[in-house]
Amino acid sequence: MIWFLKKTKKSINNRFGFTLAELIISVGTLAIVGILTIQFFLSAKDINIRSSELDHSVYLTNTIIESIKADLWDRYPLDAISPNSIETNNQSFEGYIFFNKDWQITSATDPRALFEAAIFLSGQANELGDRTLYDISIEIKRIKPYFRGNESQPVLYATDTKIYIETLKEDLLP
Amino acid sequence: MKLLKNEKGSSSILVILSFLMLGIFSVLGMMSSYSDYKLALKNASWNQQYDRLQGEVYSFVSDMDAVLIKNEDAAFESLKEMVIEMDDEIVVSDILNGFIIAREFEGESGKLIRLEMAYMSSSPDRYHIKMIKEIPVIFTYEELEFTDVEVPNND
Repeated sequence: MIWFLKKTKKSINNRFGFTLAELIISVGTLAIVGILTIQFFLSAKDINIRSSELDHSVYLTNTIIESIKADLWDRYPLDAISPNSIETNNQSFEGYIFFNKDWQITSATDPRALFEAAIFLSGQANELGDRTLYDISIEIKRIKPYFRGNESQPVLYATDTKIYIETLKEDLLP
Repeated sequence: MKLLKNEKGSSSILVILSFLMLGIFSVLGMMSSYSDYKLALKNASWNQQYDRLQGEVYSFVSDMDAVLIKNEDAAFESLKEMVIEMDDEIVVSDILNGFIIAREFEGESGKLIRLEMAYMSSSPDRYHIKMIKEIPVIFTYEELEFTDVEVPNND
């Protein structure tokens, strides 16, 4: 206790201190370094989110294509398609699936909907058989922008391919 | 004991070091997540290329389907001739009661997909896709030289 009191008295009587300029410079330097560090951490988090969403989009796109090929219209994720337009005469189909932040299926009206998968199919029916070569285009979009992103609805992943499947009938679709 | 009684502090060094550590770890974290993102982009690009190539495969299957359906009643040998004439890159090989139609498709980046279709004259399901498979591309290292190394004789 006596040692502490002595030390306190000594430090109060100490006439050496920091000038205002020194304080401003040191606090300023630390603030700049701190801001830079926080920026780096925030960027790392942002990039992590982007890569995770991109990976999930690729996986989802492959699942959709393979499900269409396997004619699994009554199973995940095709059972959640909200068809915008189905035209079986000239063989075109347009449908959307909505997902929340955990990639669980939700509806377009849900305010928590964060991702949109747009599916476009178009083809000319083979007159000879019951199969059609379809041009398929899938686009996964983020409905809300990223924290520091420029685009309001960034496209995460888009792919175009062709599939040769049984000609779509209206009762096949959800 | 001497160190414990020392009243001189080194708070500035402590602050500098802690900020330095924070800085280093933040840069490391960002580099790690950026390389992860680059890998995700590469994966996405590979998938796009594969999809494009697979589209070509299905387009070919559709053309082949049309030829085979149109000439369903044609003689076996003439049907085979028709298939061979369709494309220069088609390889047809005979099997018992039928033939195998094989073709390889090459993408822009050297990606290779092999398609094999079987045509069986006696089967009710006369032709079907046997295989659509991505073939690993064989490559050789450039300017790689091996030198002879003397093996010591332990005898």
